[in-house]
Amino acid sequence: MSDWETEEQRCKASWIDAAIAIFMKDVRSELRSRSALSSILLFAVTALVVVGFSVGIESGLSSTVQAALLWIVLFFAAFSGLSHVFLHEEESGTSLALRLTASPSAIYTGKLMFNQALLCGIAFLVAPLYLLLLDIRPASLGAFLLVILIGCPGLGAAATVVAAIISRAKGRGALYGALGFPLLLPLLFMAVHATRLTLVSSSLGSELPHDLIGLGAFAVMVITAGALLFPYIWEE
Amino acid sequence: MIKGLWWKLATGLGMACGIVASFVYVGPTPGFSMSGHGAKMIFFHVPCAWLATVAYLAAAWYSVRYLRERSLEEDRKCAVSMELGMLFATGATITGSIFSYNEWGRYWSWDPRQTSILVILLIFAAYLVLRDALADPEKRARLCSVYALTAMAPGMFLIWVVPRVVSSLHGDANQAVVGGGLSGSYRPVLYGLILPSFIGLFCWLFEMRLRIKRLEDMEQ
Repeated sequence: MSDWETEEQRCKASWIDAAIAIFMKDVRSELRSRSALSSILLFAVTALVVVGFSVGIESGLSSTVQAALLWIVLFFAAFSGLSHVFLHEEESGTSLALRLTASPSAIYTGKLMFNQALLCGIAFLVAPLYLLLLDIRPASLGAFLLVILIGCPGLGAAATVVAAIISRAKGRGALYGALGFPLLLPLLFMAVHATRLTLVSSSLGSELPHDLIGLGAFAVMVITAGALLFPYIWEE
Repeated sequence: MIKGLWWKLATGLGMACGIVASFVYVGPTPGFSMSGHGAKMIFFHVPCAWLATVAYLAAAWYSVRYLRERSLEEDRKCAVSMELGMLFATGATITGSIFSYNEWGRYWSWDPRQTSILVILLIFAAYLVLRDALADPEKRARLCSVYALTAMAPGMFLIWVVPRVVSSLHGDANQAVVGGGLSGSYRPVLYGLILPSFIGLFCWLFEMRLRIKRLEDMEQ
C-alpha cells in the first residue's frame, strides 16, 4: 500500500516536473528567437496605431467603443501568435519527440502556462499604450487592470485549445481566428461590459463583481474543457 | 432510425394542417403588428430555434460517442447534426429578425437570446469550415469532435450565465422576447401540430443527409 502511494506521488511529481520543463523549454526557445513575442507585439502595436490614427484624440468616442476596441485588439493579438507554441513543434518536427517524452496533460499544462504568461505580458504592454494613444483616463485604473488580468486567462485558454487543433490541420492557419471567435464571444461580451464600467464610473460595487466572476468562471471552464480534450487532439 | 413511411406521411400531413391552421384557425392577437397577425411568426420561429438547440446538443452527444467508440458513423451523425443545426439556426435568425423588425422596429437588437443564437450559428459555421479543411477521415473526425465539444462551453455559458450577468442591462428586451405567454388557440397548433411536424422534418432530413454522407464515404 505504502509502495503504491509513493509510486503515485512520484508520478505526480514527475508530471509537474514535465509541465514545468516544457514551460521552461518554450520560454528559453522564445528568448532565443523571440518569434512569437515579436509578431504578437508588432501586431498589437500596429493595430493600436491604426486605431489611434484613424480615430484621433478629439473625436470623443463613446466609452463602449473604447472598451470594445481594446478587446478587439487583444483578441486579434492573441490569435495572431498564440498558435506558435504548437506550430513551432510541427514545423521543426519535434512534436514526435515531445510525444515520446511527456504525457499529453503535462504538455497541455506547460504550453498553456507559456501562452498565458505571453498573453498577460502583451496585455499589460498594450493596455497602458492604448490609454496613452487614445488619451483615455479610466475612472478607476485599478479595476481596469483587474478586468484585463481576469479576462486574459479565458482568452489565452481558448486560444491555446484552438491552436492545438489548428496545428494538426496543416496549412490551415487562416482558420485560427475564425474558429476561436465563436468560443470567445461570451468572454468578449462580459469583458467589454466590465471594461466600459471601469472607464466611466468609479463606484463599481454592484455590477463589476458579476462580470469578474463571469470572466473567471469562463476561464476555469475553458481550461477544464481543454484539459479533458487535449489528449484527443494530441494523439497521433 | 424509425422504420416505415407512416411518419413521413404524418409529418407532411401535420405540416400542411399546421400551416393552414396557423393562417385560418388561429385568430389575430391584439398588441402585435399587422393588426395582430404578426404574432403568427412564432409558429415558424420557435420550432426552428428549438431544433437548432437540439441539433447543437445532438452534435455534442455524437462527438462524445465518437471519441469513446471511434466509429466513423458517429462522426457522420455529428456532422449531419451540425449541418441541420446550421439550417434551422439560419431559419430561426431570419424569422426572428423579421419578427423583431415588425414588432420593435429593429432587425437586430443584441438581446441575450439573439446573441446566443448568433453564437450557435457561428459555431455551426466554424465546425463545417474546419471539417472541409481536413482531408484524412480519422483525423477529421477526431479534431472536429474535439472542436464541437469545446464549443459546448461558450454555448452553455451563454444560455445559463450571460443572461444573469447582463440581465440588468437587457432585462426588458429579454422579457419582451421570452415573455408574453401564449394564449388560446396558439398552444394546440404550436405544440400539437407544428412542433411535432418540425421534429419529423428534422428526423427525415437527418436520415437523408446521413445516407448521402455514407455513400460519399463509400465512394472515397
